[in-house]
Amino acid sequence: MSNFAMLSILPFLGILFIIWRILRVAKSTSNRFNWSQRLNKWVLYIYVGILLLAAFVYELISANGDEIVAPKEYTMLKTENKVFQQAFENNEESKFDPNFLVEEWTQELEGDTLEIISIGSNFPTERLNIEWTDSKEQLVEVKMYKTHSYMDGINLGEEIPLSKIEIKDKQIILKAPPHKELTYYRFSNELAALSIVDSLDVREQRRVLGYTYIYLKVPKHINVIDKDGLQFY
Amino acid sequence: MFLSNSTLGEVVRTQVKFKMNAYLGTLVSLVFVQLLGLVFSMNGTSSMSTNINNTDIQVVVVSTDTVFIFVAIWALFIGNVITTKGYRNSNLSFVTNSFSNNLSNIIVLIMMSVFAGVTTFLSNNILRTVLPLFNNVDYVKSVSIIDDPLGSIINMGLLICLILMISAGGYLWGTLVYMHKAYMFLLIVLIIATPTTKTGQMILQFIFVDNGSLLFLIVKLIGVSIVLFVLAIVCSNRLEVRR
Repeated sequence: MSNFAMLSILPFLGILFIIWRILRVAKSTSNRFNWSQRLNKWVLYIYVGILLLAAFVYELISANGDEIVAPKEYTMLKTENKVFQQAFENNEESKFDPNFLVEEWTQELEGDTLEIISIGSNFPTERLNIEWTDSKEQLVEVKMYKTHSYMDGINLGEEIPLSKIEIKDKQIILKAPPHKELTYYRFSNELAALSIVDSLDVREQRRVLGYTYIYLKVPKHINVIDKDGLQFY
Repeated sequence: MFLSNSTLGEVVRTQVKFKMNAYLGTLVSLVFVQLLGLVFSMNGTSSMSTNINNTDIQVVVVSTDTVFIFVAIWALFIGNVITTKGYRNSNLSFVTNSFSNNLSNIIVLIMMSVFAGVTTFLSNNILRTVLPLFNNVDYVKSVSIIDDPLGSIINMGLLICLILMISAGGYLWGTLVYMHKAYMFLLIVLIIATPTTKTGQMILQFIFVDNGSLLFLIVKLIGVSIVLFVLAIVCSNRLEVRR
């Protein structure tokens, strides 16, 4: 028998012991006290009443603004993200979904050098791509896009803070948002133990992870310094 | 010659009525067991987490699994307990035989399983109501009984059948222990042997894994329960004299 199998049995035996003790204590208590049948019935009536009341109250509780997305909608959201990602990698700006556009800037540079700096995170939180233009001017266009992010029915796009972009004369500074933790409760009527494989598949299907994309349009004569390796493509 | 002739149905009905009243305390113990399970469920059954833009996102899933584990062990003991000497002696109040006694016990276990299954299913609603009130976290509106009545009934049925199968196992165990005390250790041996031996794993896989739908699983569980109850009746019939 493997150590893992032995260890997995131990909690079960522990619970077995706890329940056995509860039943023993319950039995000895009922022997000592005259716990009448009427009292038993009342305990059961009250418990069932509380359960039914809780089921009713749950219907009335609002869900803090989170929305449920039907499973078939996830496929659509994933496809939209994928189409955007491909267009982004191929520098096909005309195919970018305008709904993903968050903000855009235009900056006139001083000199022929543009430095891109990422701060606030060990790993870049944005994906960056540069389209080289034939323009002779010093203008740089910066566009920020954000694709869909849903997890277990929660629209994360509304909850996740975006990176901040600071544009200076010779620099574009991408500031990662401060570290944040979000916890959500999700309730299930199903026994997870009996559908662990299915539920993992279902949960993976219910997860759409989007990214923040920075798209730069830079004239060819400008020298871009990307020390942090933000430009993947 | 008797002044009145009772049919098997009448005898069993009288016994069930008496036993349900006599064993009401076991249902109260179920309430406490479920409440204990709910306390242990408060941290969730499983969780999924990811990180986007420096933000750690965690979705904690709260299901009835923990409560069910507690109730399953309760069912095992209850199936066992009603075969013990104290409970058997209560049969002396009736004109009965082994078969009618077993039949009434089985009906009582079925009724208790239905109660345990329904309340286990509904117990999740207590957490649904309490957790958002006392925790400073957001929660996702999850499928409720009204949203998915058919799914809820199937899940409730599944819980009932699982609890019934476990109580049937407990009943068979109790009957065997009544035959010979050495069978007391059978449960421990089975708990260790089933998940660790090939045969045990095959049985578990046949019952719980190879199922097209939950309804098929329910049918299998009912089948296993019937087999366990029949075995208990057969073993019990071998006991001719009350010990």
